[in-house]
Amino acid sequence: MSITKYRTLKDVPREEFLVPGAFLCAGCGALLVMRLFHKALGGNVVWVNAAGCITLMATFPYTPLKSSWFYTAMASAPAGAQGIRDALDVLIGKGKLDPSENLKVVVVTGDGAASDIGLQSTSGAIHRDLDFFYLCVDNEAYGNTGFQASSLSPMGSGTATTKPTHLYPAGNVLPKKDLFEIWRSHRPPYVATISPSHVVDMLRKVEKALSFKGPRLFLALCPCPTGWGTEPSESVRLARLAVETGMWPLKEAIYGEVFHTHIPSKRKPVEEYLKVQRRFAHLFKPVKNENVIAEIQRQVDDYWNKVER
Amino acid sequence: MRLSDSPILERGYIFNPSHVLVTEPSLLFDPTVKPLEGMTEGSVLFVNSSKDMLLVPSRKVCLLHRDITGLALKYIGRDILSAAMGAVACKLSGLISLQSMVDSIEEELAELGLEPDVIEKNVQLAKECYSSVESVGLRGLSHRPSHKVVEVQYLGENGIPDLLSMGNTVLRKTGSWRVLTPIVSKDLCTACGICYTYCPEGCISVDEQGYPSINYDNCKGCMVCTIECPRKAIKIEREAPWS
Repeated sequence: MSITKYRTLKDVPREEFLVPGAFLCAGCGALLVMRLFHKALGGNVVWVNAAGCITLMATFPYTPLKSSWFYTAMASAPAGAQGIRDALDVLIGKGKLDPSENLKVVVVTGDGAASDIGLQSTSGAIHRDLDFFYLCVDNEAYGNTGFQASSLSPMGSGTATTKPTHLYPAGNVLPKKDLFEIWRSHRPPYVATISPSHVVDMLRKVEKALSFKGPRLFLALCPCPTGWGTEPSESVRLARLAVETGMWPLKEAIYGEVFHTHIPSKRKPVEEYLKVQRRFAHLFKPVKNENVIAEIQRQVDDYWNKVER
Repeated sequence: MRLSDSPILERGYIFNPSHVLVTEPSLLFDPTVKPLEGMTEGSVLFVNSSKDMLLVPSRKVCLLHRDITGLALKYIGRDILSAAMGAVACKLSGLISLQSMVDSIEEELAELGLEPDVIEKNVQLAKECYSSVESVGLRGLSHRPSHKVVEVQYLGENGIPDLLSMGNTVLRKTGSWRVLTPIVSKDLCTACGICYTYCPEGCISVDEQGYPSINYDNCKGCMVCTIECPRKAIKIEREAPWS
């Protein structure tokens, strides 16, 4: 085990890089993740964003960030990161930028840009061993445009494009893409999943990632009160429930080798997580859809049976 | 607001409104929204606010305010305002009867798939809002200025664009999004720092001993802190006395 400076919540850095007043919904999980992630990264950051909810965070002439911001089209945030990284390297190489003013290039996108529209440019950037961070704030749909399904929307969830109907009573019939494994298959130095409920785990992972060079990718579960149909106050509790039910495994992969950083000792039934969200309400009302709930539980159990073996 | 007996196909900005309904008082002074722009003599401004409005109208604008959020909390138990503000608009126009309004709410909310009891609560709320304001009627069409080329204005002194300014969203007082206010009870607080950590906004700061204080100018009232506090030391109030 490496030495970490994060042991308890008392160790959360006090410096704020994200000030209040951003144009994001009350209780936004992605905002909380970015705030904590930035604390662990420290200053000297340039965020590269692809179109999504997070884009609304820095709407001209306002920005909540005390760091730099670069906005790209939906498919091309990692390509934008490449340009910025190259420019910084060239300036430092020519002596026009002091190395102490070097910036960490951090891509932040939603799950739609990460798993659908921008997957090719991410793959390319990892393949070229670009020295950057990637933070995917996953609220499991295209939240900014009205919560349409993305390929990270879980099976059984209702979204604007997968409404439960008499033909498809379960809502979304497609499985959630395993973006962690897609990223890991490129064998980058560091890939991790994080949750806003497990803050020390998140800070330690960023701390570890800072010791590598090359692509370092993070997949964060971000409860979305607006899209999930939950109370804003429940955001952190839901993220915690996702970890405790085993639906959101906390893990990391160093050069492709996977470690689980938190194995829930006794997993709660997935029903506890599902029944409090409006996007899963059709699984419980008017009649309980036992088959779909059992299938979701089975997938979670299968996953952990492989881990624990 | 556009009113017509036939379906309205036109979309886009209304430059010279006769009525402006503002759901949220902080929007009044927001340079990127500018809801008062285009109001002319005889326009009606309605603001959802529990407090007396101290606006000094520079033009002869009729100013009304009611605590619609308070009524929504009373009837629905949540700050859902669409039916309520719609009802106010119907009444102010002087053209729409109570029955047509109720019929429309029932029809539109049923289309959204809401439960009958939720629809009924919205109807009750809308009826109360309808009766809480007086009709002011529509201005004559003679007041309407002719079409003109739209001038895109510079943002003005409240929001001077500056590419290098950082962390300036604190200027946006998102505290007025808040319906309920979290209040820390000092006697129960153990300075554990959990509320500070989990505040999505970063609205909670801690002093040297670790005791939290909340920035009410920007707190959106998500109430994550009240749920996460292990000692239940953060109480919820409808509106803080000082706000």
